[in-house]
Amino acid sequence: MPRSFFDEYYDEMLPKVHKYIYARFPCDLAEDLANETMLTLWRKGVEAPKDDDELRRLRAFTYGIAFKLILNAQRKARREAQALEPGVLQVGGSPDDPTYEAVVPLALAATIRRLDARTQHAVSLLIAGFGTSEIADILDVTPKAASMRIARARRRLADLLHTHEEVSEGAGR
Amino acid sequence: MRDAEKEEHERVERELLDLLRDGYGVEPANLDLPPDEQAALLARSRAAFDSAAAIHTSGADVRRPRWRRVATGLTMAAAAAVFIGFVIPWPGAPDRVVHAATLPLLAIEDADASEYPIQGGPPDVELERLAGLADSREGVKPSGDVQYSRGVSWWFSSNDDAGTPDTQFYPVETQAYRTSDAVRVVTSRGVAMDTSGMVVESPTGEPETDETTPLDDDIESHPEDWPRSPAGLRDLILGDDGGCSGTEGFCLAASFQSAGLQLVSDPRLDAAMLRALIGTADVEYAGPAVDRLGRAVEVFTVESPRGDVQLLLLIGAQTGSYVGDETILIEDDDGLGLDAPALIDFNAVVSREWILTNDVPPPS
Repeated sequence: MPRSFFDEYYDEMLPKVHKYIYARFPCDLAEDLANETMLTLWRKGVEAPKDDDELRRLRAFTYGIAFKLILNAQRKARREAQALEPGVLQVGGSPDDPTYEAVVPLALAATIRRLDARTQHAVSLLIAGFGTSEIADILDVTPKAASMRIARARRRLADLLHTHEEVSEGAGR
Repeated sequence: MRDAEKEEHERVERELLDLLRDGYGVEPANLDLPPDEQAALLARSRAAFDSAAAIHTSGADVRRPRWRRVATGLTMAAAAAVFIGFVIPWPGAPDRVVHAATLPLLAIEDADASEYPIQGGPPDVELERLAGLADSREGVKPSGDVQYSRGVSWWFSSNDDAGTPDTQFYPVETQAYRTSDAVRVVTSRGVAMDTSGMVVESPTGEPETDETTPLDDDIESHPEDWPRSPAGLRDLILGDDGGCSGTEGFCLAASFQSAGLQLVSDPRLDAAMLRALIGTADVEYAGPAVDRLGRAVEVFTVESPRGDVQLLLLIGAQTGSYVGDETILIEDDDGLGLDAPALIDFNAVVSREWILTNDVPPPS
């Protein structure tokens, strides 16, 4: 990757990667890991993207590196028996199949779990403060697909909320 | 993205967020830093990145920490092989990966090999026992002016020019000739280990590299002149610049490794090095094991300052002398394409002796 392109990409992505890690870890650790993410990417020497689709994949690849560093940092903290603040996003799973769970009240968490896995991830990331284009990059889908998942989640959650209210009202009669 | 499309996405986001707020009382987090903090973050990160990127592209003009400056000769050659591996492959590298990430981890009697990093116990009693053994040995009087050591190692290089890591491991045989002012290191291709992880003895192959490195005049480059007292060694190796603060055991172990790879074993220095490790917070005793050459060893562990690798220091169970070391990756490394735990480097001393200058083979 030419350094000129990488410099531009770095300035664009570093704050985004920091935000992604900051959803899980304290700000200073997020800063270290965000920089390590970009350094790892640089060492890999991947080619500069030729079009928007390749650029989106490069962003997803970058988040993937950050995800692995998050997992490593979580493992290290566990090993050293450090208590981790929950953050606003719990991340787990394998690098090939990550899982995202926003930290929300139990009632909502139970409701979100009734959505399909891909929609759960989109909702969790939205609650954690990410916008559609960022969610698309993190999940390696197009912005349109990410938006469709969010729309689907709204409809499903509205149905579940409606059903819950009806049940509650029925029980109150 | 077109403006209309973006507006549509924002509308969809807003609708879900409104539902979450009104129906569940949940507000989205705001993790965006204010502009001034974001600019400061970018500036700090950029400076750190440029510095780190320079290390991995040139390697020049980088001031090594104190424990690294102590390392010379063989260790430097090994470190260079690892270091420049990010940029260039080992000369004469085979076309296919050799034993990539497949070499068995060292079996340690009291440790669970499936649980890396190894959680050892307090090391002080065993260190003192081994130091006593070293003390009881007779020193070897120099019978020449060149210290010759032969070892087997396993080095790796990683080349990711193609966009995906191509990590390759090489069995290497090393011969080092150390005089008072230089170290000459000759390497040849070793043979792959058998599936049990034991080294298969074989005749020395044709030299592939032959390099002589002048030694600096400072005492750090001359382990033969190091103090024979634990306190003196600690003062010399750890220094007073704080570079080893919190990682004293790692700094001392790296120096122990460096001296052990270059010098004919000196019992007084061996004992002092072992006792210098006593009381360090980051060294643990893992237990007895059999090394790659079939020798009984005692294994001590120490994690690197970054926490990404664990160094196993192997001390002869009957001699108290350094006989080798192994480096285990304990965190997945994307850049290398390796999952932890994985053995990424080992050194085993086969023999060390004094020889005459006349017995040193001519440069190849």
